[in-house]
Amino acid sequence: MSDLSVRSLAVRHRFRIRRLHNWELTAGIVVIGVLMLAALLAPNIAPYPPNRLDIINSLQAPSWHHWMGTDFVGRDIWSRVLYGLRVDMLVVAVITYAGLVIGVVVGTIAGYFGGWFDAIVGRIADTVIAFPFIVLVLAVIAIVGPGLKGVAIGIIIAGWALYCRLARSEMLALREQPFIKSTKALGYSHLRAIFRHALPNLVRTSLVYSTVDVVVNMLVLAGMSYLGLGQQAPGADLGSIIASGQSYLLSAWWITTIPGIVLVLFGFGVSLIGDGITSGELLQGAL
Amino acid sequence: MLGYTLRRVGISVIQLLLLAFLAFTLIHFVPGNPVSTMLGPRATPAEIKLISDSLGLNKPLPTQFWLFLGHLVTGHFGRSFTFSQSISSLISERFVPSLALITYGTLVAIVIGVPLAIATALRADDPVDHSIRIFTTISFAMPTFWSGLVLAIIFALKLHWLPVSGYGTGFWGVARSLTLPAVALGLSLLAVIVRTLRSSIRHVLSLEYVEATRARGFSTWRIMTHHVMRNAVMPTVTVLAVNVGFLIGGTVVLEQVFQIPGLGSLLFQAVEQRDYPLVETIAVLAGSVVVFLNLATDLLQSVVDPRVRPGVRSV
Amino acid sequence: MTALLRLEGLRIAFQHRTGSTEVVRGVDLEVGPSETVGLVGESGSGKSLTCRSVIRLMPSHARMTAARVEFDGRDVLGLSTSDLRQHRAHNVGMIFQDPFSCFDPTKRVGEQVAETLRVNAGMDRSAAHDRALELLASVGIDRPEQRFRAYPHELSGGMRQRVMIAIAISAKPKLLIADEPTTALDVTTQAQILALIEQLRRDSEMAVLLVSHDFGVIAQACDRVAVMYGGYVVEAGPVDEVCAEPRHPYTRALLESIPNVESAGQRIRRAGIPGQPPNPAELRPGCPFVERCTLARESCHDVDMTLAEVAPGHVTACPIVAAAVGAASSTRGRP
Repeated sequence: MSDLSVRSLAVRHRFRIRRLHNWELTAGIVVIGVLMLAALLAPNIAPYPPNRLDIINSLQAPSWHHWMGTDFVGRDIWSRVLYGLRVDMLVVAVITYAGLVIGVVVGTIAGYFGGWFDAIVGRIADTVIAFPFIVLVLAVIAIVGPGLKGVAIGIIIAGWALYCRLARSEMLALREQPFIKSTKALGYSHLRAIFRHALPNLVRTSLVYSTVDVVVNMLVLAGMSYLGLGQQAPGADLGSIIASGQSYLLSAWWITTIPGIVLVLFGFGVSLIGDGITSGELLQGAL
Repeated sequence: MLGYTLRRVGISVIQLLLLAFLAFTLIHFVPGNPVSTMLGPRATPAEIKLISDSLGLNKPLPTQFWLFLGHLVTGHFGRSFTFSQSISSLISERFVPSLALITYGTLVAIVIGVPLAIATALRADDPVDHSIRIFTTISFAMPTFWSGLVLAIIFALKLHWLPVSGYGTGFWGVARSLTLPAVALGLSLLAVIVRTLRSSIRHVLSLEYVEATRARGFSTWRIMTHHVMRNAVMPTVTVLAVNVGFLIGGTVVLEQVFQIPGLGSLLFQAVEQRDYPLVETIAVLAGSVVVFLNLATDLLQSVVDPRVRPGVRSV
Repeated sequence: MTALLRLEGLRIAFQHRTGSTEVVRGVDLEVGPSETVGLVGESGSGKSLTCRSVIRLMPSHARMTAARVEFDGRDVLGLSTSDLRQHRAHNVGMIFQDPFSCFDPTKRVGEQVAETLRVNAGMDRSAAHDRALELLASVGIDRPEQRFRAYPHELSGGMRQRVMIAIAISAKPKLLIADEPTTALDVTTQAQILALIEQLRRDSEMAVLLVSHDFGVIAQACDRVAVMYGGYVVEAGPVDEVCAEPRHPYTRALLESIPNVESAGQRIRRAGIPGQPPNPAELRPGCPFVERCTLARESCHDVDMTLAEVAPGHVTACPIVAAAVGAASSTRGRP
């Protein structure tokens, strides 16, 4: 085996061991893994179809038959939560990472080339960031109309800007580094310089931030669905399930409370992953 | 000092202009024709044109923008579609409850968060630190409307300690009715405050001059109150200002949950009814608040920390 | 002469997740009243931590143990928190290396002096203000009223160091600890600050513990010196003697690497000491200097670093040198 490959093996081995010591990261991965599995397998493991009406058994407290109880028309909450989780996790992942991709690409290009393009992009991004997030999303929904499409577009429009700013400022710093300057000397095309050399470094900060962003976007998505502006009936997502329990807050508290716990679990797991990554990185730097 | 202030204010003015521009472009460049969405799927092209004309939507864009700016500056925001009132009167009616809610919520977050942050900063890496961090992570992950609902179930419906909804009269009435939503709001802000304050306190604690004050025999209490907090607070205030946007957003949903007649619920109703003038105006207003707050914190920082002031040469 | 400060068997270790690293491995040190003692060594030798142990000013992850830390006859290790504060406030004054970062950047310097007076000496505002002005003048700051109102970043390094000294002596301490007080200053200012410290010492019969990596500074300012390497004291004695007749290979190498005025004219290459200071994380028994020492032998790995006297008041940790001196003096004794 050549020198290099032996060394890279050793590095990987060291990194892996460090990760296992990092309880936050492993705990977070476990939690999210379980949730993802549940969401993926929803059609297989949901005991009832999520929209099956069963008025006789409406407003039942959690029991052996209905783990999370039933709502006012007898639908099984546990099944609805599973399907809702499915929708929510998918949508959140798509909109967060769409925003990330757009923001990072635009920001990197702006930072690399500078000039008027950078000036304009910078100002636009700063203004979008200055806008209160939810207000912007609501404004977009006002125009596009309620529904997941509106929420998604709104969150992407509000969300790309922060990634843009992150990528742009990192690019501005990176631009001065020798290894980027040398790509010019070597005659690499700009594209190659940006994508193969600069981007991998830039993406790391954005990925770390995306863990926070995922949580925030999930909360906003749930909030919009709660208000009736997100996932529309008959589809259900966690926010709309919570809303459906509004009239039965005391009599059937489980309708409102339990889906929220699932949301908290999700946010907690993702935050753990984010914390785990950052503290792991700190360790790396110290050594 | 004056130069810095002027420059900083100038930047804010530009930001406000861009804000208005952004709100304006949204209506015109986002997919979907606002007027046809507003009128519904059965509108005829003639109807659409009529309404568009009356809204001035068919004039050339620059003219529209100019008019829009004029309205913003003079405070004549036009009339709302759905409420037969002028927008400015609507806003002035609904402004106070939202302001009260946000202030109350921030206070809650500060009152709980600052002691927690100090506790974690001083006892880094011990069980207290870890449990507080876990608590704040959980509180961050809780949707504000959900925590509001859960609090309402427990404290209003079950225990009858506080009203479940509505906006009371008189100072104490208002305070009582806003307590549950304020606590919900505060819980979501808590994580941000504890986290940033903790790291800036720990940073300041590691600085040499803190060690020097310990060497002089000062007590921990004195060091914390007179030397550390002054320097640690600033980054947190800046972060708070940045997060005001989320606070404002949080009130939108909370006001719906608790039926509070504030700007948040007004915005929601406006969005539901596709009341564009109203949506636009509130959006710009909210954005301006954020811009002003950022301006205020920057200026405050230059007052508190003499190093930030340009014109004083460091050695 | 009863010692003002007595350190015996001082050990300091840093705790971290996977264990602890000993950085000070067994140090004995004494300072008499009104004496100036120097502590010299490379960075990493443990000298800064040693001087901080006098007031137990340890970073949070450090653990300090010692057979004895005594100040003026009182045990320092067992002091309660409030007694420790009193000890720091009234017995010992300390000045640090970087005079910039030792001040609160958002407060005026005079205020920081006055604050110490108010808190430690219980003075009221105006008395503290006046006394602060006096102190600033006594450390050689001109126009004290004006300087009082200055912020730290508006003063030069030498001025800031003077203010720090003013703060340190404000409670008339019996011991002044100076941790690299001149390292961040230029040579002229350096001489001024050293002279100031010496003057203050004479005026108030204060003892001084001066820590530096610069032997030149130590030689200028101190009566006695202790040389530290790898967490141990390797040699100690009167400064003139140690400079003239170093009794440890490390001290000798250190002295030889100092450029001096005579050699400046001739282009003599001053070799630094080859090799690197030891990494405290890679502890090994025996003498830490063994890798870089010209006299090194196999037996050096078993040395226990106790100090042996080679002349009155002059000790060394090197058994080879000690044996050689002993042999020489015993041969001298024979007729």
